Amino acid sequence: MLRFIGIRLVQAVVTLLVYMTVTYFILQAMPGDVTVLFTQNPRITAEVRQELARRLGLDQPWYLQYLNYLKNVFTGNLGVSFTQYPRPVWDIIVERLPRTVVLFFTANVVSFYIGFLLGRFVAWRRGSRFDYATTAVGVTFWTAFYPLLGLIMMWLFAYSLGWLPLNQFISPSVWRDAPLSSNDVFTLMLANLGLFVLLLLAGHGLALPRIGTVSGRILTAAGLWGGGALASVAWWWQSGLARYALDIVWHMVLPVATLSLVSFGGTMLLMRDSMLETIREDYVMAARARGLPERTVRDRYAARTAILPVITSFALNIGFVVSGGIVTETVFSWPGIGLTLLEAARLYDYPLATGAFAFTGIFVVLAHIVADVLHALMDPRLRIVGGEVTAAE
Amino acid sequence: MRWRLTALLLLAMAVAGLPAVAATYETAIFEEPTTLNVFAGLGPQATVWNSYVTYGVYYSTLYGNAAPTFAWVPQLARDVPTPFQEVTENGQTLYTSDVEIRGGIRWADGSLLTADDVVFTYQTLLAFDANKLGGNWPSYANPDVLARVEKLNDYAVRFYLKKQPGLADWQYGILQAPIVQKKTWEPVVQRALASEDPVRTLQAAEVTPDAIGAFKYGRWERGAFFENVANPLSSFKGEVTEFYPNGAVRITNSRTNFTWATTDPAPEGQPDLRVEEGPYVDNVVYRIYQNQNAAILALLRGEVSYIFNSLGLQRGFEQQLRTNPNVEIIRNNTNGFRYLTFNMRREPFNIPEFRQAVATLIDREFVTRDILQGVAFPLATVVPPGNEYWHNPEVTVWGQGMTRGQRIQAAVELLKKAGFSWRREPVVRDAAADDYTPGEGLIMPNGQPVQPFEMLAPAPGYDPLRATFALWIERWAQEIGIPLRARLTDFNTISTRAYDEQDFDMFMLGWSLGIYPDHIYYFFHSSQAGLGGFNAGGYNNPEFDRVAEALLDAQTLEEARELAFEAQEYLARDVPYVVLFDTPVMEAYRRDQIQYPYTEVLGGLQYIYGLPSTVKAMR
Repeated sequence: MLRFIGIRLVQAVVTLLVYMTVTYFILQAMPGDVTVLFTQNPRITAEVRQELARRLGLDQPWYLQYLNYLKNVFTGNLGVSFTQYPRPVWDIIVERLPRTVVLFFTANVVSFYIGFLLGRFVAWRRGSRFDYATTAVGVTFWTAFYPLLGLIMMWLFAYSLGWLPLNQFISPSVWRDAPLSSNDVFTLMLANLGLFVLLLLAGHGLALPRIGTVSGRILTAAGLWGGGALASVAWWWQSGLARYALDIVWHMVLPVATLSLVSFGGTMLLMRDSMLETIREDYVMAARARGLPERTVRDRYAARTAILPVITSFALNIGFVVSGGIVTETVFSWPGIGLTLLEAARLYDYPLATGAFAFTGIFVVLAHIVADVLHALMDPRLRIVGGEVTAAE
Repeated sequence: MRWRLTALLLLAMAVAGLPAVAATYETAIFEEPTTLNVFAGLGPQATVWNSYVTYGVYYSTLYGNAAPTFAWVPQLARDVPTPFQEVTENGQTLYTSDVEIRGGIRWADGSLLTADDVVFTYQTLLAFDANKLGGNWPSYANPDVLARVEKLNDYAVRFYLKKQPGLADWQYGILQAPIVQKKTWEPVVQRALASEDPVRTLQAAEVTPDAIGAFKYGRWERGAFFENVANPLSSFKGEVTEFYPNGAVRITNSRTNFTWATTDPAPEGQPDLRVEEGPYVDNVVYRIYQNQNAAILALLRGEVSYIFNSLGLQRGFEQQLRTNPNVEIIRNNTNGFRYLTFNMRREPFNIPEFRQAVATLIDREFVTRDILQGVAFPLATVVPPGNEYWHNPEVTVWGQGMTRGQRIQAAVELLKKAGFSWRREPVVRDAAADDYTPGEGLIMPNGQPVQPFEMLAPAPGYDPLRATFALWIERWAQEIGIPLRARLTDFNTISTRAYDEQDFDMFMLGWSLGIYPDHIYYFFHSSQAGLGGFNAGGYNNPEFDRVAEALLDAQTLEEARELAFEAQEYLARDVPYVVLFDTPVMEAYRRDQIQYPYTEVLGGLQYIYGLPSTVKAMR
C-alpha cells in the first residue's frame, strides 16, 4: 500500500509540474500585462508604467519570469499580487478560501447525499412512475442553465417571497459590531466541521467494529452523530458567536439549495446505474434467497457495493471545492477563490492567478490520490500488487 | 391640564429612553476596495472602488473642484496661492508661492491640521519619488516641477518649484494632493525609508486611515461590506457653498470663521444652489455585490439606497427600475468620449484630407439615433460639451447635417483635392436625394492602389456600441472605395498593439477625462508619440504643439481656456481623432430613503463619491 501511495505521489508531482507550466504559459499568452490597466489614464505617463513593470519584474525575459515563478511555487512563496501590490498572494488566498470551502463543501455533501439516497431508491423501484418522475426532474435541473436558475431562485425566494437573504454571505446589520471578522467565524466553522468528521471517522473506524450487536452499533452511531452535533451547538451557543454562524448559515441556504438542485441529478443517475448493475450480482440474489427483508438487501448488500463509484466521484469533487465556482460566487455575491481566479486573470495578476491555480491543482491532485486509495481499500474485488491495482480473482 | 403635562412628560421620558435609530446610507458597490493605505490606493491600486470608499472620502486637499460646477476653490487653504516669486539658490532659479492654511480644522482624532501635515505630505512624496509610488502620485508631486515645501508658520507653507508651472501642474496637480496626517504616517514613513525597499514597505503598511472629512473608517468585512462612520469632529460640518448664475462661488463656515468667494466673477444676486455640508447620516455602508442583477433587486427591495458604478447602470435595467415608484432614475453627461484614430506614420493616414474624408462619411446621428436607439449620444469634440467651461462649441464638425449623398460628395471632393483617384469613381447624381453609385479601388496620389487595411475595434462582448459603429464605418468607407475592414477584438489586443507596439492602421477606443483638459497635450503633442506614449497615432503638428505646450504652462484660467479653444480648432481641422459618441451615465436611487442636494452633475453622482457628506436620510 505504501509503495502504491508513493508511486501515486510521484505521478502527482509530475502532473502538477506540467499543469503549472501549462497554466503559466496560457496566462502569459494573453495580450498585454497589468500595466495596460493604466493606459486609460492620460496622467499616468509611459515612465510610470515602465517603473511599475520594473517593480513587478515584468521587464525580465519570459524564461527568467517562469523560473522565478516555479521556484516560488515549490518553495511555498506565491509572491506578491500585482493588482493589490504589495499584498502577498497567500494573504488573499487565506482570506477567501474558508468562504469557498464552507459553501462548496456543504453543497457537495448535501447534493451527494440527496443523490445517493434517491439513486438507491429509484433503482430499487426501477420502471415505476416515481423512477421516471425523479429521473426527469434530476436531469432537468442537471441540464438547466445554471446562472439563470440561480437568478430565478434569488428572484423567487429572496426578492418575491422574501424568505431568504437576497445576496452576499452576511448581513451588515448583524456584523457591524461583531467582536471578530466573518473570516474568523468561517475558520471556526471549518474547524468545527473537521473535528466532527474526525469524531465520526474515529467512531466508525474504531468503536463500531468492536460492538457485536446490530442494535448496539445503531445506538453507537446515533450517539456519535447526535453527540457531535449537540456538542457543536453547545459550543457555539456558549461562545456567544452562534448568531454570527447562524447568519452565515442563513445566507448559505439559497446558494446551497441551488447548487444541490443542479448537482444531485448526476449523483442520483450514477448511483442508480451502479445499483442496477449490483442488484444483478449473485450475492444479492443469495441475500434475497435467505429471506432477508428487502430494505436490508437494498441497503446492506446492494448499496454498499454500488456506492463505490459515488464515493470516488465525491472524493474527486471535494478536490474542486477549493476552486469554488465563478458563476455561483458571482450570482450569490460570495467572493471566494473562483472569483479571485477570474479577476486575477482579467487584470493580468499573474502571481495571484497562478497562486490560486497552484492551490487548486494541489488539492485536485490530492483528491485523485485519496479517491484511488479509497477505491483500492473499499472495493473487495481489487488488490494492490507491487504498487499497482489489480482485480482480485 | 396637569394630567396632560404629566402625560407629555411621561411620553418625553419614554421617547428619550428609546434607543436612537441610526440613519444609514446604504449603497451597493461591485468590487471590493483593496487597501486602506492611501499611498497604495492612489498608487498601484488606484481603482475607482478604492476612491469611492476610502481616500475619496477621508482626505481633503489644499484646493479642489466644487461640484456640481467643478469651480476651482480652496478647501484646506484659506485663499488662493500667492503669485510666483523668482529666487536663486546655489545658482539655481526657483519659483516660490505661499499658501495659507485654514485654522480650526481638526483631524478625526481631534488634533488640529497644521502646516506640519502639509509639509510632511509633500516631503514624503518627494522622498519616495512620486514616479516610483506610481498611480496618480506623479501628478500630485511631479519631481520635475516640485523642489520642496517649507513651513512658514503653523498655518502657512511655501512651495519651491523648479519651473513656473501651468494650471495642469499647479492648480490641478500639486495643489490637489490629498493631505495626510503627520502623526499617523511619520513612524510608517521612517520605517519604510529605513527598509530595503522603501516604496514597497510604505505601500504594504497596514494603517487605520486618518480622516479629516465628514466620515472616518468604521469597519471592513472583507468580501461583504465596508462601513464609514460619521466623524463627529468634522470641521466642515455646516460649511455652506453657494453657486451663482454667473459662475461665482462663495464658501462660508461659521464653525471656523471662514469665508471665501471668487473675485472674477464675484457673486451677484441670489445663488442658484446652496449646499450645506453634513454629515446628515450616522454611517455609510457599502455592500459588495458581485453582479448588477442582485444590486438592482436590492435597490428595488430597499436594502440599498444607491448603486455605485463608474459606467452607470445598464440600460436594460431601466424598465425593471421603473416598476418601483420610489426609485428615481437620473441621467448625466459623462466626461469622456469614444473615438477613432489613425496611424499617422503610415500612408494614407498621414494625409489630412483622407482623415477628413473618413470623418465626413461617419454619420454619428444616424447610428446613435436610429441604430442604437438613443443609448448613446453623438459627440464630435475632444472636450465634451458637458465640460462646459472648456468645451469649444464653434469647432468644425465634418459632415454635420449632411445627407448620405452629400457626405459622399464632400468626401470624394476632399480626396480628389489631395490627389486621390479611383479605379471606379463614386458618382453622386443627386446628393440631397441620396442618389449615388458607390466607387471602387481608391488610388493614392502617387498612383499606387490603397492597400486593404484594418480598423481594430472592441468586440460586441466588450462594447456593442463601438462594435456597431465599426461595422457602419466599414460599410461607409467601402462605399467610396476605401478598403477598410473592421476587426473586432478584445480591449487588451487593441491596447497592446496601439500603445506598446504602435502596430495598427486605425483603432477605436475610449477615454474618461478629468475636468482640466490637459489631455489635449498628452494625447496629441508630438513628444508623447513614442512607444507607450498616449499619442499612439503619431500626430505631429508643430503649430499645435506650441499651443498645447502653452496650455500646459498657462497660469490663469482665462488664458488656458483660450488656448484650449485654439487647440480644439487645430484638432477639429487635422482630425487626428474622429470623436464618435459617448453614453450618458444612468443611475438610480431610492427617493423615499435619501435626498441629495442636487443630482445634475457631470459624470453622475458616482463621480463625486455618491455625495456622502450632503445626502440626507429620509427615515
